[in-house]
Parts: sequence; C-alpha cells; structure tokens
Amino acid sequence: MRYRSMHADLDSERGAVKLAPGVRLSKDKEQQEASVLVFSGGKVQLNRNAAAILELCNGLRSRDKLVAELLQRSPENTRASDIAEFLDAAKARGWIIEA
Amino acid sequence: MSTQIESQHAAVVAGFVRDGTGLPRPRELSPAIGASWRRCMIDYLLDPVRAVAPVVLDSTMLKEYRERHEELIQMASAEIDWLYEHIAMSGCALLLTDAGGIVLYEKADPVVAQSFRMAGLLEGADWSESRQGTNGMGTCIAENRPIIVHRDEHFRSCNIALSCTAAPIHDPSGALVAVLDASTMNAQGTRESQTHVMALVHLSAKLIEKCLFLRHFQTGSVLRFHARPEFVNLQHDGALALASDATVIAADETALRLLGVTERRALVGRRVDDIFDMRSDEPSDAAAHRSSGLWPVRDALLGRRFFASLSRDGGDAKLLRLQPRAVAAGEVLQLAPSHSSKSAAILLEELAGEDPQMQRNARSARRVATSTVSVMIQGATGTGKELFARALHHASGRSSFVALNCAAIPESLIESELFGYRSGAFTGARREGMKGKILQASGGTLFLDEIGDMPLALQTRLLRVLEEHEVVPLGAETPMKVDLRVICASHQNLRAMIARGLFREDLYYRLNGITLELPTLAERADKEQLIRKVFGVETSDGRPAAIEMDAFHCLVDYEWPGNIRELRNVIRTALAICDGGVVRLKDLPSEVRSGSCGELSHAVGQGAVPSSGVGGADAGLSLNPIEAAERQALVRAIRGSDGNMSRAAKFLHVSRSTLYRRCKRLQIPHQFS
Repeated sequence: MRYRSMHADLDSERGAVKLAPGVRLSKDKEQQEASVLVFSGGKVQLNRNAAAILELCNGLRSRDKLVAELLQRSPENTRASDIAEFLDAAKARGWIIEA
Repeated sequence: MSTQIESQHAAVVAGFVRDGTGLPRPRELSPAIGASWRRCMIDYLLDPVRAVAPVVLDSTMLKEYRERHEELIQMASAEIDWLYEHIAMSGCALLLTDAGGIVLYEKADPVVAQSFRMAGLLEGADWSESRQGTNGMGTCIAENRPIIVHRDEHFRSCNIALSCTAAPIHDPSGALVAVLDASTMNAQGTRESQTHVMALVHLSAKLIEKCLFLRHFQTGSVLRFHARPEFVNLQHDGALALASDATVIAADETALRLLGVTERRALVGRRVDDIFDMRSDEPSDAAAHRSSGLWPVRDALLGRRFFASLSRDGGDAKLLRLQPRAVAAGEVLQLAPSHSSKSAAILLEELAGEDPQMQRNARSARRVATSTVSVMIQGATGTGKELFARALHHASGRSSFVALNCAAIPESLIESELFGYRSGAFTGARREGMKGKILQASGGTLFLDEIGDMPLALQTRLLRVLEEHEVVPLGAETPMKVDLRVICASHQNLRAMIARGLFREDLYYRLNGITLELPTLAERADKEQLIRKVFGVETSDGRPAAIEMDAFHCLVDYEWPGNIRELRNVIRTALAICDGGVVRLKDLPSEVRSGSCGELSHAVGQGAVPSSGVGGADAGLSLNPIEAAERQALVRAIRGSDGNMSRAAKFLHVSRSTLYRRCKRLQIPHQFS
C-alpha cells in the first residue's frame, strides 16, 4: 500500500504545476477576498477562485489533475476553460511553472 | 503647370482661412472642411504649399503597432477584401488607420499601387491631420464622423490629386479606435460621385465595429434586437452586452439609435429588463417566434416593439434564466425575478460592512424593519439605495417587494403604473385592466425610487392612499383596501424642493418616518475592503480572477462619482475585457486611470512607481521636482493613451516628435504599459 501511494505521487509530479521560485501566496483566513500573490516585481489581488487554483499549484499535481480536483469541488460553478485560461495567464506572467 | 495649380490652391486655402474669401465662385466649402483648414493653419501651423512626405514608421515600430492592433486588423482585413470587390472603381486603395492616423493595413489596386506609395499611402504612414493637413483619414479622426475629402478639399497642395472617403470605427465603449478609408487618384467625377463609395465605406466600418463588439464579448452574453425579426443577428441590429446578472455592460451605436438614447450612460449599468418590457401583449407572437429563438419585447421607455435574441456562452447558467419562459395560461413571457435569490437575501449588516455610518443605518433600519414606519433613504446615485431598501424589506418579513422608479418612466405613465386601471379605462388600455404597483405591493413593501420626480398631482393621490389605506384604480368606482409599507429614496434635497413648492410638505412628513443617509463610496471608511468584496462578488460565478496591484490602487484612489454602481460596472467591464482573468491597468477606463491614479502618490507611498520598467528607470535618475512632475505627467498621458504616442501627444498638445524627445530626456522607456 505504502509503496503504491508513493509511486502514485512520483507519477503525478511529471508535468506538475507549482509556484515559480520567489512567488508566494499570502492567504487571509479572516477575509476570504484578501488573498494576495506576492512576487519580486509586485503583488496581485486574487479572488477566491484564483486563490484556490494557486493554492493547488504546489508541485503535487499536473494541470489536468488540478482542473479535475477543482471541478470535483464545485461541479456546477467551475469551468475547465476558465481555469486553463487563468493558468495560461499565470504562466505567461511567470507566476507558475510547469515541470 | 502643376506647380501653378498647387500655388493657386495654397492661395485659396490661405485666403479662406484668413477672411473667408478667395473661394472661386460658385464653389462652396463644406463646414467640416473649412473647420479642418482652420485647424491646420491656426492650430498646427501647417503650410499648404509645402510638400511634405508623410512620416513613415520604421519596420520595427510598424510591427509593434500592427501587433497591438492584431485583432482589429484581422477582422478589418476580411471586410476590406469584401469592400475591395464591391467598390466598382479602378485605381483605388483601401486603408485602415489606428486612432492616431497611422496606416495599419492597405489594399491597393496593383496597377496604381506604385503611385499610391509615392503619394504616401502606405502602411506605417502617419496621416493624422496635424501632420498631413486636411485628408480623409486624419480629418475623419478629428471630426469623429464619416467624411469625404475630395481633390482640392485637401489642405496641402501636394495631396489634391487624392479623393478620400473615410468612416470611423468605434470600440464597444464608443471610443474611436480606427478609420477605414477608400482613396483614389485623379478622380474625374465630382464630390457627389463619392457618395456611393461613402455609403459602402460607412457600411463596412459599421460591420467591423459590430465584429469588434461581438468579439469583445464573445465569452459573455449579447442581446441583439431589431424592430424587424428578420434583421436580428444581422449587422443592422442593436447589441447589448450583458453581465451574468443581466446588467448591460456595453451597447453598440445601433442599440443607442434604436432605443432613442444619445449616450451609452443611459443604458450601461441598467438591468436589461428595465430597458425592455419582456412581457408580450400579443400571445400569438410568443408562439410564432419561440421556434425561431426570437422573442417580442417592448422598450420600457417608449413602448416600441422589438424582436430580441440572446446569444450566450454555453456554460453560463445564470443567464439562462433571462430567456423568457412561456407560461401556458395567457402566454406571458417572463423574466426571472430581478435579483437572484442570493442578492435578495442580502443582509443589512452585510451592506454596512465596516463603515460606522452604514452600521448606524443598519441598526436604525433593523429597529423599524418589522413596523410599517416609512423609511426615506437619501444618497447620491449608485450608493445602493435600492439594495438597502431590499435588505430592509428582507428584514421585515413582509411578502413582496415592488419597486417603481419615478424618474425612469414618463410622468404620464406613473399614474397608471402606481394606481392601475380597470378594463376599458382608456383607449389602448389592456382588456383585462392592470393591477397597479400599490395593489401589487399590498402586504409587502412599496419602494418608490427618485420620489422627488413624482408629479405634484400624483403626490396628492399617493398621500390619500397612505392616509386612508385604500386605492381607487383608474376607471373604477370602488376603493380597494391596501396594507402598505413604503420605502422611498431620493438623491435630491427634498426640503429644498418643498421650499420651492415642488414637493408636498405633508407627503414628505408622511414618508419620512426615519431618514437614512447612505455615504458615498469615497466617504466610506471600508472603501478598500468594499472594493475587494465587489471584485469577489462580481466573479462569484466561479471564475478565477486577479487584479494587479497598481490597477487595484487606481480603484481605491478613484473618486467614484457614480459610487458602487460605477465601481461594479468598471470591475465587470474590466473582467470582461481582461486577458486570462487578470485585470491590468490598461483594462480600466481612462477616467479611472487618470482620475486619481497618481503615480506620484504611490511612488511616494511605496517608494517606487507601480509599474515594471518605469520604476527601474526612476531609481537611477536624479530628477529635480519639476522634471519629476513632468515625467509623471508624460507617463500618465502615455499610459492613458494605451501607449499610443500620437494620442498621448495630442492629449498633451505637443507634437509626437516633441513627446519622443522628452521621453528620451526623462528616460521613459517606449513600452511600459
């Protein structure tokens, strides 16, 4: 069992999405809308959904798994295309990297 | 020979501008051309006789310009190809310029392409009026309307071989973004012979405009309408882009014209069901058009009939509710209740946020919520008077919330809207009569918005209803009992209106059980949190979204004359046009960016100008305060023009080369927006 789960983790690391070095997600538990992404060039204010996506960019899942996980969380309120578009924008700006 | 004609032309132009004389009879000059000649001579100090070849961008600059307008060029070029086939005139060139007069795209008859190049009609050339004098493209930009500049109507003698017809292309917000121009050389016909070309060019420009509009809102919902059903979804229809809660976020020019309004302001920010009455009077219509995807509507202002269709993004479930449901009995087409269940349940405390004055208001409102004490809500436009009234209604536990905006409907209709009428009360009345808002609100809450706009005669009738708790519909004899709770709202000073005899004092006291003053957005202590919250709420449909800090600070610093409503519109529009869900400075309207988005204040506050590149340059510069201020002004102007140097120069009233020179001196990088 143990071996298998480790193996699964290793597998998922291929193509894994994570925050670029020097980029940090600062979440505010009190104020849900006050999450901020901090990087050397500045900051961006995130909404709830953007923060949820970036939180999953921790190097443990590929883009597809990330989308699937979010879709599972709230199926009727999430669109894969929105997430993909946001990830593209985040990648283009150097906030995240894909292994 | 030709030089003689040229110097004659120059003399005519100079004479006309000097004292209005010098025109060879029986010639008359169109006012637009005359005005342009004056601008050229007096404002731009151009010399009609000097032959000056147009400034042409180098290939890297041109590439940059074209990349910036890639989408526009792509759409326009298809249309230009069509137009090229249909303009039945040989030796013609079609050109597309940006808002600064730079030619972005050209299609020319190969036979005469060379002579067009010689005349300066080529990609990258600057045909702004301030450079080239009166000409089709530049003067079209200056006048912001379709124009013909035929032969010797050109300002410069060297251009009088040309005959140009140009029409402006506007973006969804109504700003001029491009000009489409058809030019010929040595045209033999008269100016009037150009009118056919004008019609075609204008048509194509409108079509490009429509494509731009639809492309802009392709992921959103667009309501398209026309008086004739066969025209809906074609280029002549009116288009309204809608946010997911059915608020209009943009309108094209045809929509303005069809609805008889002159400014976008009259439509943008309103709910689409405030603009159109979605009920159908003739049941057969609904059945006939349901199959075609069109449904009949009437505009709420003038009651004219239109047919409408709604195209929407497949995944947007919220807007599905907008589409009318046909109800079997009576075939009445209905909209979903005007606010989603979520916002209907908004709490007074939620509206109050962290602002002390709003918290006081919420406490007072709660105290009287379950009573029938009348509440007067005072506040500037967009401060959320109706939303507050709804929250108060929600806290009251009463049945229905019925709203009437006294400023939004013609005076003559307020009476029947409010009091209703019996069948046959007057010609044109509906057969079954109509239940007025007062009766509808019985047992619930009647919300009278802009009560200051209620005609005096009706104030008397309303007062009687409130005193006697009964209403007599038009044409009826017997009064009907009503149980009312009235909340009214106004942005006007009603006391001053009383003093001027425009508002009844006794009604004022009857309505004014308690008065709640809603603070403006700028006054609110919790402004920053509120903006964050609105940003969150506007994307609560599940979309990921982010806003860059400098853009966010702009929102915080702006004065918001239109308050929360304006804030919501700006955020909504920015979200609709931004790339990948990330709102940047350039996605905000220019007034928000320039209004108070002081690079100065933030530069001081944060130790750096909040824009990459500029900040870096700043650090290594030792500018005196005057230079620093000049630099800020230039940066702001260039950013406000989306990096378009011509537009920025025009805004600053300097030439483009002066602007480039100053940028160099103050080390402002070319691209930083």
